Amino acid sequence: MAGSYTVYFGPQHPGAPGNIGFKLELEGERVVKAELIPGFLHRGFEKMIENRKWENSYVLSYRFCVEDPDSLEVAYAEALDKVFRVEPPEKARYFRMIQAEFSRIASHMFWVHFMAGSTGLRTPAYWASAAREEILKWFAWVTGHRVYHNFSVPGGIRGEVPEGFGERTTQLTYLVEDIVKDVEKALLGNRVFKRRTRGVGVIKGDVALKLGATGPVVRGGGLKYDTRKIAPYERYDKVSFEIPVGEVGDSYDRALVRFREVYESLKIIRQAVLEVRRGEPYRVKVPLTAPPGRGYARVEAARGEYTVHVVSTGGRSPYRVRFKSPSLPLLTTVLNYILENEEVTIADLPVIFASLDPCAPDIDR
Amino acid sequence: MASVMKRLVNWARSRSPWMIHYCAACGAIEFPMLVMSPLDWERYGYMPVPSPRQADFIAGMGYLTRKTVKLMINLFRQTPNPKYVVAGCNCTATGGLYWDSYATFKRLDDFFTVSGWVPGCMPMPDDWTALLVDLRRQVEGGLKRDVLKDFESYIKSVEEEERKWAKEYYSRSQPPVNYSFKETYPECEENYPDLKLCVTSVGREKLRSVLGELKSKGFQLLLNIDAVDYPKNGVIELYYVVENTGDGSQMAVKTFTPRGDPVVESVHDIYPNALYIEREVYEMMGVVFRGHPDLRKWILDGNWEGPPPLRKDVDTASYVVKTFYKGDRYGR
Repeated sequence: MAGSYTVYFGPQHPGAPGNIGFKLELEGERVVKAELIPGFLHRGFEKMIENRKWENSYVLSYRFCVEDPDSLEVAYAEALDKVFRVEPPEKARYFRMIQAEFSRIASHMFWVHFMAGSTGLRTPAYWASAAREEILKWFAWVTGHRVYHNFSVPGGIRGEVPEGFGERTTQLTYLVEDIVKDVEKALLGNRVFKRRTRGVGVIKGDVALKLGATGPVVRGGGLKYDTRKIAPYERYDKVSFEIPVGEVGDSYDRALVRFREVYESLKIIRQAVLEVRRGEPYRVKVPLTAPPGRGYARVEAARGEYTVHVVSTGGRSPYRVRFKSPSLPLLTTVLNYILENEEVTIADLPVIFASLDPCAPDIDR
Repeated sequence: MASVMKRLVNWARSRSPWMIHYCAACGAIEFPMLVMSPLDWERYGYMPVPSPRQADFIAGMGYLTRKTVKLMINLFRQTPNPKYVVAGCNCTATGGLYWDSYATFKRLDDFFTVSGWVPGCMPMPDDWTALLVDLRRQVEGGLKRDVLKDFESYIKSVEEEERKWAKEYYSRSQPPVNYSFKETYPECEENYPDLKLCVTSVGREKLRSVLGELKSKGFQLLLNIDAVDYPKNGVIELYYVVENTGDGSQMAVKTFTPRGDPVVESVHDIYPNALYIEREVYEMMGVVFRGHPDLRKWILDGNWEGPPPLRKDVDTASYVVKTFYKGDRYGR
């Protein structure tokens, strides 16, 4: 056996999950241990948000996961609803669900780039980017922005939905579903993909939970665990949807769960669209100063449970805001659990990274 | 003849602008869309290359954290001549939305000469395309290569100032503890039934045993450790948020530690992911976790040398304005 040595992997590496580095301990080709090197994306959101006024603070609240900003935005808006003690109109509640679910789909479609890229497939990534592009166009039409939308604000949503909202949104869900079905067939049905992902990176759901992970990693391991079901926020208790789960908990199952989740998200959107009608009130006014108190929100983002804790001591700015990143356990405890329990080579490492789908800026904030 | 040759070389060079595949910040989110249809940058000869040795240009895609800038300088040095630098998004031009961030540098042209800029946050794909077309035109016209500026003394002076501040901060005496605290465990202090959240409080010496007990009751998932600093009361409050994996209810165990002696027992043997969350709380808030095997700078390593930035009496915003904008907040 070749000797053991240390190699730095990333952040400038196509296989690295974003701008984040690793210090790998290798024995021959086998990876024994991976130590995370974060900090390349640290901006200090929790400090900056304390310097902002309430009405400016939510511009910062979602920018630390560029792939899935809307779940974060919805969570912060919800926490602020509780700080200001306002009840947003029903329409806004349903719209926030649509926004968060489209963001989840867009995030999962972006993930196809990583997953397909790391297994050497290009075509599914091209098709997935088409689905994502359609969603971004929809966002640009409704909110005026492609990537960061800033549409869920405390007390409701920022503006009225455009003319023909219901029809176009429903149409879009069918268009996206068609594309996603093709992508799924091309990716999950591919023999190369199956060989590269079956039995690679196995972790069971209950083990992953104990290590701090949530989201598709837990569900891929066969555990029905979803914040939308166990602690429904917005109006997730009023819509019907399933929680897709895998069996083995390997990379293939996690990929499968993500595709199944997209179909469930589309189902949720089709139900929620019926409740969003033009002309109904979309926002209640919130005062400029908040009463002292606490706001807390927990949502199911694309990568797992995401929580916001806002502390207010009165006045024009938040006193302290704390975010919980769902990606941190994925690249630390979960990754090292996988490395300890199976023989992972360098070539399999990008596959495992991609199947865990971490969001690098979310770790650093 | 020589000039014809030169023009030919420039023309050929402009037809294959290859970029280092380095997704430095959030601006990179649009790049897969740009390279693929419908915008299809490959028709311009563009390609993201994994190695800097094959690249022609490097792009700053959004905010420049200090660690990233150091890495970008390293990558730029490895790129063969002629090489170019382009700057995308507002943050590389002015600091953008993160003008008061203590961990970012505000302008890319403090470090390199820059050949092209893209405005916006997020820039639209057409803006990026305009940049690429412009870069091609410039290269064809014989654009001079970009060079590194004198950055070493600048980075060093910034870090030196922060170290001085940290020294001064730690030598200051802490305010006395003036804080009322009542232990309520196992009863809830505050209850949020719609979130299934219950806030309870324990003294810091009992924290470990309480969390161990909660874990055996089914609270197996540690979500986060929230730290809130109260300089007026002289304490730092800590909330250990744990989740019951059976019914999804959450418990926030509140405890506090005086600012003069911010020591708490580590719980990493009860919850494995606490190892990393505690490390983050240590560097951001200056709370020391006794029994933690590897307490060190982690996220802030290379980004910040000063006192714990999330403490309330550490005013990073005015420090940033003084250091990076020369005292003029609207000069950005």
